[in-house]
Amino acid sequence: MHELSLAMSLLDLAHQEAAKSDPAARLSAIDVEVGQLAGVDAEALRFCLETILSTTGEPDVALRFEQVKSLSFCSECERFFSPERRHSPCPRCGSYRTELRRGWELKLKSITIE
Amino acid sequence: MCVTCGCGGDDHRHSNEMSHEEMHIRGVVHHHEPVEQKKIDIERDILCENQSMAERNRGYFEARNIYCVNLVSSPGSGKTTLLEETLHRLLPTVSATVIEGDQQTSNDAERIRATGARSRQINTQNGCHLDAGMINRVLKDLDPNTGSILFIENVGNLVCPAMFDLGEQDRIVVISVTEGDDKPLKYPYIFESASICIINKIDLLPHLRSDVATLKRNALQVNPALRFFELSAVTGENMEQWCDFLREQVKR
Repeated sequence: MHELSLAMSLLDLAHQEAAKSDPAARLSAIDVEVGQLAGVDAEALRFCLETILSTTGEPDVALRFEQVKSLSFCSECERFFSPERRHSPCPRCGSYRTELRRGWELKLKSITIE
Repeated sequence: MCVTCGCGGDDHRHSNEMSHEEMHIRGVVHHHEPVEQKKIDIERDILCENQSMAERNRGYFEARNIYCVNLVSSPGSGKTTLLEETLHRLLPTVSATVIEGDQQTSNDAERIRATGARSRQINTQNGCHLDAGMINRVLKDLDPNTGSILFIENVGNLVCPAMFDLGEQDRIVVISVTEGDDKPLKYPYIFESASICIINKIDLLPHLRSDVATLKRNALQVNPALRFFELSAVTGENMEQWCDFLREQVKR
């Protein structure tokens, strides 16, 4: 639902970082990390990024997405597991006292410039 | 004989006599220096701009001892009525201001102003949520008092506001009993990100099939640390309990 504003923030960040390194730099690739439970539709995000890049004259920027598998910690039995949903209970003890440690990420991992 | 390429004539130009552009125009095969590519590690959260602005707001609230809450819910859960009734009870003794977020119209801000509280309306137009920058811009103008409560009524939406920290101390999800007791399971992100859940319109329970115990159980599945208030803004049932909680927050 808000993938367009996320795509705009992501590209702003990428352009800022590229300009920091070299004001004349052009982006050639963007690496994004999307958690399995980040609440972001990766395909919708890709579509929004491509749409923006085609309007800024950078249609050739490669977009690479890496999905991060979810990892939760159960405070009841003190073990890690990979939940399918945010509120999945611990598969061992059935507790909901769990904390999502990985899989919520939405990160600009790296950029490649030329 | 041409000494450069060994051909018979002298009436042609060689690549070492041409500019790079000319080689391209004439289709002369030539080497390119590889374009230097540089990979830069960034490792930054995409919402970091919003996050750092939210922390600035939070610092402002802390310094002025302002208790700021971000009210999120579906449209029609009764947030504005809850606020009106809360303000009627608080205002004689507690200073409070309100930031209203809606896509369009300033109807809500006007309703709040009628209670005597100062308020500002933010129209997000095409936006589906408030962000920390919008709050920051309005704060300077609103200028809430030291030791006051600031209510932010977010855009009625259970999806997007979950991702955007505004700098609030507590995020309060308001759900009315008419919405069905499985809503926390359908929209887990907002319930997970909230610290308080207000179950509103409990006066309607006798007419409904939804069950507060089930609603709470479902919400606790998503967020075991959630604190509940069950009330009816219209009849006033349990409103004092909720207002006492708010008064406690600014006493400290």
